[in-house]
Amino acid sequence: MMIANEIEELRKAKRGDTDAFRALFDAHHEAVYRFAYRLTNSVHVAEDVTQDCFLRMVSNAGGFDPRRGSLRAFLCGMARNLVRQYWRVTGREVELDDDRDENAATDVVSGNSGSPSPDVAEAVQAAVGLLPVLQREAVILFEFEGLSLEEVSQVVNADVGAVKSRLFRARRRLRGLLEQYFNQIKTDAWRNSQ
Amino acid sequence: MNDPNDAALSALLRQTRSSIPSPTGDFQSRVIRAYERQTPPRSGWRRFMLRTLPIPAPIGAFAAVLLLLIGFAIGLQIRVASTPGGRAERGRVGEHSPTNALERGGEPSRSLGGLQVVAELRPRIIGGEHENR
Repeated sequence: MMIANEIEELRKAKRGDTDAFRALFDAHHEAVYRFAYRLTNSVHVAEDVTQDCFLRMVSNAGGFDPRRGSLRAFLCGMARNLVRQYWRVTGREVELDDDRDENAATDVVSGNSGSPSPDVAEAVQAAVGLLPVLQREAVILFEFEGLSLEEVSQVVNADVGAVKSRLFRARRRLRGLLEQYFNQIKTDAWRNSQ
Repeated sequence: MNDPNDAALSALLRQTRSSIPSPTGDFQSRVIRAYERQTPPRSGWRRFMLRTLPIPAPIGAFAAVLLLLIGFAIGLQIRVASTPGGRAERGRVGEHSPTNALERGGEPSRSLGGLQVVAELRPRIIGGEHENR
């Protein structure tokens, strides 16, 4: 959906036009839901966050400035704040520090804990879940949601350099956490090329 | 970030993009209902009445000044018209008043011409036998 159309649809939605609201919801709710789910690992919380996000988008339509970024980035920024609010309300300590112990809990992902090795998707989700929050949100937005570095920096309220740095450290950590699957992919790719 | 290891990692991450559990079945309708409760649709008439029109600032300022001037002019007209006879008649009102006469340097007029003539009074005795006559 073009940005100009989105602004018009947003105006209509604010006036009570359900069709306009539905169009915006259809265009963006999956991305917002996925982002919230990857941060919280809970379907219900992700649904609540997504719903609040869209209701706030309408009531706070003036807060969206198309010159600062896309509506999707605006919505993801709101979802991020709502998730943090949820963590605060539920008493969960949010570790924002980027430099915590990199070797912590690697067994959960690599399957050294004695339990059967999880499949790739579960392992990746678990590995992403082990990242510090600031790195996790950068990876989710950049790698999974395909936002540009500028859009990610808008969502996480940091400059592009800080986002690049978080992505670099997150990738380094993910490579370590997913080494087993990572090597398998490289082997498969090498076999396919032969 | 052009390391081949990064390409493999990106491929690994891409594999899991779609591995998110779907939201519950009635999620969309629940959000739409919540939206409709929060933002009841406005009727066409109400939408028309509450519609905002963008007006350039200089034109708005000019219109405001013009309205003030028109209001002032109308107020002035009403004040003049509400005085009996208008400005021309104001001189005649109280022309013969003692104060005016004094101001003109003359004697204040002292006549009873303005008083009402009272009919002659006849005494009448009330009560007793005089009454019956």
